[in-house]
Amino acid sequence: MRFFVAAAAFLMFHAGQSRAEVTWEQQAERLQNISATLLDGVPFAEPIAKTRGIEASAAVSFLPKTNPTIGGKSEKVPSSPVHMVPTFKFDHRPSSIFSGNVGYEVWAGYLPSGGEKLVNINAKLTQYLAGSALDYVLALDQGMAIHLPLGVQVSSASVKGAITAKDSNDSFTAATSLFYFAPGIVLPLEAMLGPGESAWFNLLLGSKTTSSDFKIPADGTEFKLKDNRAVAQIAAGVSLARGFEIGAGLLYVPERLMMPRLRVGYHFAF
Amino acid sequence: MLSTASILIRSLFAVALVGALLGCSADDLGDEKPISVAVNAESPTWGNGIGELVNKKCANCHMPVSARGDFVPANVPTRTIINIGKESFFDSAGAVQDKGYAMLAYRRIFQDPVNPMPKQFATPFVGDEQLALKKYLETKGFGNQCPDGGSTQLTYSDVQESITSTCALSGCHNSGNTLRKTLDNLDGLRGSWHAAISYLAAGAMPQGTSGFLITTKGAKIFEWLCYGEEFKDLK
Repeated sequence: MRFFVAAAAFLMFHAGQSRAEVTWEQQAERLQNISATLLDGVPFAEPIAKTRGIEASAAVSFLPKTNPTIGGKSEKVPSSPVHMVPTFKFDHRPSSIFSGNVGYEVWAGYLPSGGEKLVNINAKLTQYLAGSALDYVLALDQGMAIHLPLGVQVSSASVKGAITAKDSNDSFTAATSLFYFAPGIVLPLEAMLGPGESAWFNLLLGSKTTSSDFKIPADGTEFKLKDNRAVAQIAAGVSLARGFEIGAGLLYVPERLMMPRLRVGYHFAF
Repeated sequence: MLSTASILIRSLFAVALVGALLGCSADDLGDEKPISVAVNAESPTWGNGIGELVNKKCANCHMPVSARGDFVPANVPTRTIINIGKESFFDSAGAVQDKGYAMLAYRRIFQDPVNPMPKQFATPFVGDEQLALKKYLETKGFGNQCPDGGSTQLTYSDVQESITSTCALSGCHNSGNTLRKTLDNLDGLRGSWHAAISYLAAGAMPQGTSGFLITTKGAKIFEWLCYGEEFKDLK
């Protein structure tokens, strides 16, 4: 418990730090990297369910306000105040190893063009993501369990339209690969809510690589960037007996952003 | 009495909630200021700040294409990038073309309210940087090429033939040459106004001539460019 509180305090402290003087190149690079990070779609890594099933979910990210300054000018940021990618997941716990179970899950998400409202720019966003994870589940006393999932996710987002000027035809793409480890604990809620209901808490630690490409045809310009970052996320949620899942988390990407997220899902067991 | 599991769950949710609320902040690079260079505004030299200033706020864009990284501004004219990051570029005894570019730099930074340098997206000047650079360029002889208080009665029609026969010859700055700026009409002249004054003043244009400005034709064109009514809105 102390560890998690200390981790949260560390993340918040570092997110509030400001930087020294910068050039326009540094500001432009920062803005591009932040724009790409806003479209990452880091998973919640919630514990794999006890029963095989398919889950539909949506993670809502409350995107932070981003400083849009480049040199003496304000640029447009291809983002929205709230962002969500509908996702379907299949999970299964087929085998036992030592005193625990091994499960796996695969998921895919897709946000079609026009399904997202971008702010301040007239552009269309298309986004997809796909991932899989192996989860080792160690049962403890009193219905508690420790989850040790290792996962990978790839995502790609594309924004096309008038980003830099009213009538421009710009394009911004960001492709991310993420590897993560998200140790967590599941606690029974039967005494508080009812049979079959539980709460979970985890800490996701990951490493991601984002490649972004910003094309401004009117200027004949193309900015390509590759960004390697550590990722941390604390998350908690409840799994209700009827299949509903609710979670909340705080995502932190050093020198990029920190933002709260919510997740709602429904797990259909079969 | 609450169970241990219940206390733990509530504590974890409290941490997540507090974190989520505090997380609604701007990105953490939001308070930075433009980079500043220590300069001596009283007696600026290349070594005491101007060199660093020119390299950080001019040459980082105006560099050869081959030296650029992924992040470059668009449409930087190649002819204005030559050697701007070197002290020799600002040597008043140096190449006449460089003198023309240095004079153009002065005009674009200090006398161009319509499309000034640095461009809007570029790193702006702060503190005494602009003052020091102005004094440095003036000391080097690249200052205002059109003395203050001057005037002219000349209009475009008075100089049109002279300009056409001097600048807009076939193969040079005429409308048929897509590689050069067009100077055989008023719109073209207005679009290249700062460059025309700078290159004429430096002796860089017309190419292969010297002392053009002391000829009657040259003096007339220059006077009109400096003070002509047709350029009032560009000042």
